[in-house]
Amino acid sequence: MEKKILYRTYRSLMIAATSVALTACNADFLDTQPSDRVGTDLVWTTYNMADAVVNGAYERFYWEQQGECPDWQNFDAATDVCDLDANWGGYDWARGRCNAGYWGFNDWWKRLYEEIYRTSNVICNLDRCEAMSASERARDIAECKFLRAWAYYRANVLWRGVPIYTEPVEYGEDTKPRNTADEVWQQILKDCSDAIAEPNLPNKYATSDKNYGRVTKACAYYLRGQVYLWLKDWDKAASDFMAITTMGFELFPDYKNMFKAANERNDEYIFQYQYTDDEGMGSLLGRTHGNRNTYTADGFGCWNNLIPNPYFVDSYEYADGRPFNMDEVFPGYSAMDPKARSVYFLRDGLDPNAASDKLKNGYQQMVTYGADMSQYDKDGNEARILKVYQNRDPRMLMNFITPYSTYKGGSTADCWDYTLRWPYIGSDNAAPYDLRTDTNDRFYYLWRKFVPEGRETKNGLNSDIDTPIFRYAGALIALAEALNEQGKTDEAVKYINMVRARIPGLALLNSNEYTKVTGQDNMRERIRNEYGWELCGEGQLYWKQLRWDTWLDRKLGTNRTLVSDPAQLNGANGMTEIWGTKRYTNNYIGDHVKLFAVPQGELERNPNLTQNPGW
Amino acid sequence: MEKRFIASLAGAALLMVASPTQAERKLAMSVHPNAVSATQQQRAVSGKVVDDQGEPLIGVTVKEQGTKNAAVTDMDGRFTLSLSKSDAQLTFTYIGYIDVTSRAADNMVITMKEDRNELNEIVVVGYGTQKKVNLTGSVVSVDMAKETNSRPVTTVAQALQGMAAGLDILQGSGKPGAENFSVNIRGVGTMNDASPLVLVDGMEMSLSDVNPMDIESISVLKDAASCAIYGNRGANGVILVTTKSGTDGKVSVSYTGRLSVNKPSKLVRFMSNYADYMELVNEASENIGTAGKYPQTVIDQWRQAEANPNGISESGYPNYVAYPNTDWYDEIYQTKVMQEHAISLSGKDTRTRYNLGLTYLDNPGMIVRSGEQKYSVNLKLISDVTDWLQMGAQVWGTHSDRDRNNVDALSSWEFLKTVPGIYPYYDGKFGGIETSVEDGAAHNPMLLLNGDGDSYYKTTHAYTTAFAQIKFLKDFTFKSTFGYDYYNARHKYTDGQNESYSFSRGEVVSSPAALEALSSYMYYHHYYNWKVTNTLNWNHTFAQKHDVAALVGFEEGKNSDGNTDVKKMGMIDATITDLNTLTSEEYIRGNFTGYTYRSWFGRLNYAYDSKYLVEANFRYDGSSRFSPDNRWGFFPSASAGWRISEENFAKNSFLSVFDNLKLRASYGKLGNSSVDNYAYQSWYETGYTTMAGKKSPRFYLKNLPNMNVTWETTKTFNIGLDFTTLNGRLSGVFDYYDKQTSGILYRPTIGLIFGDKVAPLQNLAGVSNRGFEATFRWEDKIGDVTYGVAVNGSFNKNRVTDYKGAFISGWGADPNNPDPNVYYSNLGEVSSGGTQRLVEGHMMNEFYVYPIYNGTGTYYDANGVVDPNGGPRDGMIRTPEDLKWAQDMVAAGYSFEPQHAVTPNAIWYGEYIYADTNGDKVYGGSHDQKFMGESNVPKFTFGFQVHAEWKGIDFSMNWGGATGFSTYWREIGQNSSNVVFGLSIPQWIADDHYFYDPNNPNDPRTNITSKNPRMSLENPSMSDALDNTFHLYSCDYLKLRNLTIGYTLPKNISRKFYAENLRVYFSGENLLTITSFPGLDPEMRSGEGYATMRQLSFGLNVTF
Repeated sequence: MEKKILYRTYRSLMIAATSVALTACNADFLDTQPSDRVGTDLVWTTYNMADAVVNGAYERFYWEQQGECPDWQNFDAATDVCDLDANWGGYDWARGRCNAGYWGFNDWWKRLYEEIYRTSNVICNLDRCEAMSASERARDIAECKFLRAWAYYRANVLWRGVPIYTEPVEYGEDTKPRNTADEVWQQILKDCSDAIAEPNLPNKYATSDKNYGRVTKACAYYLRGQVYLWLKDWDKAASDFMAITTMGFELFPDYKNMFKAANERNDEYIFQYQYTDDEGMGSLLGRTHGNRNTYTADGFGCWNNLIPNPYFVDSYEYADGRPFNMDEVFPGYSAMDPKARSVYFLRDGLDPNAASDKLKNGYQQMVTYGADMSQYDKDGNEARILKVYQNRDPRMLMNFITPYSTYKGGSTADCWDYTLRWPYIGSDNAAPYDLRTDTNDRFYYLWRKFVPEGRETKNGLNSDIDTPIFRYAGALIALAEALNEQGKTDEAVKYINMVRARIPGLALLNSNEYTKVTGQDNMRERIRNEYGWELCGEGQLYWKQLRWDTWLDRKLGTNRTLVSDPAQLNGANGMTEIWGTKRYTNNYIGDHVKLFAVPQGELERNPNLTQNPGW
Repeated sequence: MEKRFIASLAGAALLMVASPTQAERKLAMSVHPNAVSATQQQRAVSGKVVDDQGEPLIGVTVKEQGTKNAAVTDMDGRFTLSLSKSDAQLTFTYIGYIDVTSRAADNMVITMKEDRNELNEIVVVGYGTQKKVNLTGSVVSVDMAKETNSRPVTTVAQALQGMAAGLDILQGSGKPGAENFSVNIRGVGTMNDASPLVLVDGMEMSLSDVNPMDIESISVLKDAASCAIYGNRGANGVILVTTKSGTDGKVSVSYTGRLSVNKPSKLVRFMSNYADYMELVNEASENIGTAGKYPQTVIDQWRQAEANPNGISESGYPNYVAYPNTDWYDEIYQTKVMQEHAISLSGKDTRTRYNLGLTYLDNPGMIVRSGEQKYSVNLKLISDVTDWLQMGAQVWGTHSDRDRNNVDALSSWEFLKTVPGIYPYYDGKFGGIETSVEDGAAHNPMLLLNGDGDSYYKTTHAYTTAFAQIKFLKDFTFKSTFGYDYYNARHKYTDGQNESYSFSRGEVVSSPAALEALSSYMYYHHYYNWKVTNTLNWNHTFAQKHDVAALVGFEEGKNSDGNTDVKKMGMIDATITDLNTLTSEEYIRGNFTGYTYRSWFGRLNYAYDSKYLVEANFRYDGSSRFSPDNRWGFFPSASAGWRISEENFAKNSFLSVFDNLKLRASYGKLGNSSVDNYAYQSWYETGYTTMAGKKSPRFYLKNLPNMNVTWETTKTFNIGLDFTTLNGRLSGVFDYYDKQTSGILYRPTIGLIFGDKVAPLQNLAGVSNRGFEATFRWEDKIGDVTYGVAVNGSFNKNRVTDYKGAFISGWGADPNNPDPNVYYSNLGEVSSGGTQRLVEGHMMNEFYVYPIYNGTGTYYDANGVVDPNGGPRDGMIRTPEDLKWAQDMVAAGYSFEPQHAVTPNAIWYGEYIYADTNGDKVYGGSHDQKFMGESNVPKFTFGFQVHAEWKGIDFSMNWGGATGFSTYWREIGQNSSNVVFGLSIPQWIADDHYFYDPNNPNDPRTNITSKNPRMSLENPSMSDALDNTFHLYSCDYLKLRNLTIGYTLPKNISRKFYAENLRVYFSGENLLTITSFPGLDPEMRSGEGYATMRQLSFGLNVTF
């Protein structure tokens, strides 16, 4: 009996064991590998994978100007050049409405350090890839040194002193204190100098070269020169920019059409953010600069989030160099109430007795608004205001859409020429083809630069137009600045004139009484203006104005500590209609806004960090 | 139903062995009662067993006491039994019914009553079933067949709401097929997936994938003892779903059908009068010192047209079209009729039981192109091949067709971006903005909903299981089950041309998109999972009093998941949308992922005399998600029960009032691995970037590695008491639990120095959930009225016990710098999150927001010096005195952030200011947020159900609610006073908001008492700039989830329709919500989205 039980038990165990064995025979059943990612141990083993890591380092650099937040496309919106449409959030330090917890500080700290991490990773590890030739590795490492230097450059301008990490940070070791601003400058100089010393890195790629668009020595010279400008080491700065003039760069003859996808491979661009019309890889500048008549795939048009400020637009001189002053055209203009001035910008034909309802309503609308209709010239209003925009520095019309100028839209298949008129009574697909905006309730200057015309791009919201960061014109102006600061004003004039000579009809310096350079200070003023007129819209001016310490004077006003009502500030100060009324004004909360706050959360995480004063 | 099923199974089995022969029956029938002599040694007795409705009971065991004589009732409830002595006592037993003992008599009619104290109820537990009285774990079972028979529920989660203590279910949306229920058992114990494991007939599924009509019963396993057998995913509790099976010998066909009228339960409407809207936007502009946006001429145009809506405008369209005043919610939401039809066929043929269920559901939702049509089939077959071999298989599948439009944007900016001055649709055209002063980006929501081309979601989900079960050596059962689960989703999205038209101006507002810009994309997603389970059971009773059961098992499986995503552009015509016909490729994407697991598990039960109950479980789990060295987890549990009511001392004391009184206790450990499939590995993400002007591959490091990650574990202690008293009329269950989760797999917030990288996954955090649950049930009958009341409630306290160290803040609190003038906070280091934070000592994701200032309203102290505590009482600047105080405060060195300036476009009349909680003279500074003691998970949830039946009329109600939770809600167009050009304004804010013009205090719009801030064209304004207590809403609610009235026709009438049973009913779902939350539905914990439905339905249940 007992034996029988034992036997039965044995048999049942056998059955269980067999069934277990049937299913559990596969010993590595629990070892799985992903097929859409690459293990860290494998990534340096083949050429293609290592190359993709280098591309990853570049990607983050492009991402600076792309990606998560359209409001951040252009640092010019932090300056007097333009303002952010009030419907959107962003640039809160410039608008005087944030504390150290502001997400923008967080965001920029994070994205610059990601760039630093990715480039350091290549610099420290690419030599592990034996499948890649030594010369290509050396070139890629030099490229990444430049990209890292670029990230540190941006960080140092924003914070003036950040922690220096030159290797990929290990988890838990992100506790370094801030280095001094000077130590960071030296780190940037070192990376740039290393890149310049690398024999495998060319000075320049031909526009036909498959590597066109990658980092070159010229980039490193440019950046190093900029740092020397910060350090007021004018001599070294001049020699770096001078070096660039020997490398075969030349100004693209057609200023306006340089900023087109078709011409983005040119000999003027030294370094640029590159975009394509592939899904998710386009530039957002078309979106923020473009208007509702700009072609987009969704049919709704672009958003004109960035509104050019009349303070800046009006700074463009006449083509012969004579300063522009609205009071000369309309005597008493600046003394008038801004709403009353609007009369000068109105379209022809408004009439309380007009047959057309639209013209009748438009007249009433402007009466209600407060325009001084006694100054209205029903048949000559447009011609009168157009004179304001005639015979000016031609770059003004190439960069901006001004009243009663036209823009070739793409919102309908016929790609009509739309005219910027006020009040708007138009239609996309019928005369009079008024230009439609996202801010149709008010009248603003609009961007032309980087805005696709007709249907030249696949989708205006994500356009394929590259954005230059370094172009030869900028190098020439910087060279002029470095020379002028050394007292070599006459030599500086030569380089500014190279830039001006490219623009048909624009008077060269020292060519007449208006362009007469009267000394180093006068030349300094002219150089700074030239930077703005030439480079506006390209996100360059914030960094330069900080260096000159003119940023707050221009953005808010020189009287910022004297007045309590922001409406009284004498700078560009807010989102402004062409005749001067403001949608909003900026608040002045203290000069500490010249530096970014160290992100509040980062201070709490890393007690070794210190905050910038005032935040 | 469950108990009936078991009973009929047992009965059927006995019928086979003990059914009387025809001859015996004839003999018994032929004997006249009076002719039976008392001296006869043997005699036969016959009779009939019925239930209290007079219906025959099939399969009742009839036994002569003290002998082995037994019989089973047949299809008509009849039995015949040969007796060994003349005055025999017969006992009648039937599972689910109270035993009856009666003296034998001829033609006896025995009425058996249903056992309402449910002592004999059978409950499905892990890998088996158990009698409820013998349970030592914490398990609740819900009779779903009853719920789904009367309610227009389309998902199981909806039917389960409020039905079980400790089960917290909140509905996230009203969108058909995407209701987004959150299901938690006993609080949220982890930052990872905290939803319970759902097993449908042993196969892992999502609750939303199960057709409610197929379900027989649901068991909710709550404590470690009952879940430990599912160690690897049991930490969040387990929901076991059992589908319907074939029942008794007769083929039974039943039909259930219903029609429901769907309406939104609540809407937060936009302003619908355009002239009013324009005036209000102008008010918002003037409030902040800028010029109004809309010219009076345009406002007047609308006013004039409104006075003569049917007049013909200059463009030739009627005024109401050309100068529209559209109430968008009237257009978006429509009353629609949902219908559902289910047929089930079940029965048993000698050795084989079968069940076939077919269900068709057409739920159109309430919004155009947002509905779902669903087809479900369930086929189950179980065959007793021999007396030792049982085999079976089940095929279960569902196919869902959903139309697709932009309705998910209902809660987004895109949808809010509309104004009342757009006409929805007229004369074949969608309206656009009617005046050029309007924001060109203002949409027509009806165009967003209708404008897309051919677009849909289609999913097909099928699973099959097959099993074989062998009984051997009397006490052993071996069962092997194989399950395969296949899911396939096919999504299509096609752009539309989206032309909009201005009726007043007679022209196109936005032109149709060019054909070359139109795209179409297809997304394919599929997963396929298989699982093998082998179990060996052994049951034995020693010496009649020692019941021992043991189970050992093995399980392994693999889950695989992949998708393909393809997009092309350029159409020949907007109606030709197949990928073949499009001209340019946009992208082709796809990826694949999967994981494997393997487990051994076991259970041992011991019961002494049904009085002392002990159970032990273990599970040993391996997961591919962890590295080989950290892969295996061991999860044991033990539990014990003491049926006090079975003790002699209890039977002889006051405790005898209890029919059942049981004390239970359990303790055990469970695991969770619901993290990324390749959690421990470090990898580079792949993708593309632009390089040298071309799209090129790029890699970047995202996840920092941690080889040491392993299982997170949850240890639960549970003590409970079950009782039944007053002859089974009152029963109750109490449970106290203490659930400690440790080693929670988490990626903490990482320093910004690491850029986009995420922190290594770590076994980092600990969370504690402690709580109390109670359930009471009263069932009784008064005269012809049967009625019952059930109440359940649960309280849960959630705390983060372990994260990254204690939160320290305060003046001089810096451990390295005792300077009392320096304010220190380590919040960024020890916590993560923003408005909802994770930090030790607080509940998970507790709200952390800026309190609104509140002051005494006295402004200055006795010396006339400005008093920081003397500001406005509720924090809003309402009067000139308030404003002067604010200005004086600024002059005295205080500052109000983040708007900073006391000017019309910053801090001004009708704006709230924030409190300075840390006393640094900065109001709304970096350290002024406070923990609010609430998260968006309820602390207290409760439900109560009432039912009554009287002569075929039945009535039931289901109430449920939750308290102690909040949501942060601030949305333009919904509950904010901030105005953005081209965006809608909520009507209720338009009707009630602060207004004061210091230059014209007598303005008729003046309202200085409103709680809502002034209208402001700033986004955000001062009041909305920081996440603050004003926008933190309590979500406490009480809902009448369902009310049903039904009538079952008397049998004699229903039989005229050849029906065994015929019931009609009326049912209302989501009829009443009591809450202070101003948004759509407190359960959604969001103010906007697809509104939940109120349904009125009429239905029919027929069984043939």
